[in-house]
Amino acid sequence: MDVSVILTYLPFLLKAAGWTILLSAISLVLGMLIGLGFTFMRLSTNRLLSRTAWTFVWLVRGTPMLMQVFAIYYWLPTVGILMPPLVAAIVSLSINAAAYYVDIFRAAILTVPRGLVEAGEAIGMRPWQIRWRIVLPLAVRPALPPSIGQAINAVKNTSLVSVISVQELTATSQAIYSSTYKIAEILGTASLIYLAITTVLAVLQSWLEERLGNYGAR
Amino acid sequence: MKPVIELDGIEKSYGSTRVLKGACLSVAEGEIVAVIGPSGAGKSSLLRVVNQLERHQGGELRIDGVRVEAGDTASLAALRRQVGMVFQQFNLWPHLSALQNVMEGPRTVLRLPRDESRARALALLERVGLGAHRDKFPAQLSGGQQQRVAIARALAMQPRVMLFDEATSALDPTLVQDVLDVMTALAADRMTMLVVTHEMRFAREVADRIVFMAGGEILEVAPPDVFFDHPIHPLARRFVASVSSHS
Repeated sequence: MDVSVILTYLPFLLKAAGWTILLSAISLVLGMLIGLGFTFMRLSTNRLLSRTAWTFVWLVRGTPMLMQVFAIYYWLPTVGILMPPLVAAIVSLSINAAAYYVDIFRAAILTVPRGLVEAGEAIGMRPWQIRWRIVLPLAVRPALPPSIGQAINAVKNTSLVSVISVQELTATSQAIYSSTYKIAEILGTASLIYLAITTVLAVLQSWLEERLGNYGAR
Repeated sequence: MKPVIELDGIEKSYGSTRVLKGACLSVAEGEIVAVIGPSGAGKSSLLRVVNQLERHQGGELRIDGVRVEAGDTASLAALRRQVGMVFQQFNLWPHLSALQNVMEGPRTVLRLPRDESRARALALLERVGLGAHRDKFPAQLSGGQQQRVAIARALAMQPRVMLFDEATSALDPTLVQDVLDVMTALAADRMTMLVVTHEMRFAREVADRIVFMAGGEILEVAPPDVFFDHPIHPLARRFVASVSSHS
């Protein structure tokens, strides 16, 4: 193993990791917001809204993310929607995460007992007030573990946008090993960096689980 | 006394099961009516039609003389502001403290200023004997305490009527009396109350009228002494016999 090549290229890898983190963070926030929107549609009594959301989840979850990246970057321009690689990357990562968050949020919302909703109805709260003041706060805790799990997936999925020349960690690693031929060293280091990022999320999960939503129980 | 609640031939079915078969009942202002009967009689359904947690499919419901239509959510919310409800399972919001549970209605529904909501909630918590527990979460309270917070939560809307749906049935026997005491005090203040209960002593001592239901029908309506001492309908006689053998 060639340690010197790792040391030489570590600054480049870390800078690329910065892009990976940025891409992950932006697409997670957007993905959660879009996912929440589709969750409301999915739970709506309006069949058109509900089916539109179901179809979105079905399409995005049912096809490889790599194909989605290609579709957004190479196919959308043929119908007049052109975007730079970084934007295409954010769009595809956000949409992909959103599709997974729909079912995570929906399942969490459905854990809130019907009686707590009825208690809101009984004092004359409007449906949207019940949703924002009762249902969503109580859905946070059950949504937490699968949400972090999906966040970890989102971090790893950023490696797929390397195919449209976004210089994140995987693309940068490929560029370095194709000129140095030190594949094991470079990809090994990159993997450890991915692991470090996802470890932060895993630790965050334990930390939040202890502090969030216990409401005096135990 | 003018009627606050009027049920006129209320019909309610779940699929092919008729749970309310043309129920008629009128509750006057300040009246305390206890609804009793075997389980599956339709008592809870009757109560839940009054605040429209269940929609009726036939007949007419009037609150303060105003006919309730299966209409938009705004008029539904307006109806429910007038009608407080206490549930068997308390249904306190677990993420809010006792005080916040009681403040929620004044704040969110009545849109009262924060100070005023807080003052009203504190006064009500005192009234149900839980002033010292205002900052506790529901999980930190006993069942009886939770139910008293739930009563305060309903009262915070200053409703015209209070509905009690087996409010003591989920409680540890030692905690039942505290809740009944609060309900008795409320009755003494002449709050209009429609109370589904299995507490026969409470029904006999506090209610002005007993409504006996079985099989989705109101079979007998009478003052407590008359009902318990001289039930007329065969099912009512059997029911009274079975509950008096327990006590």
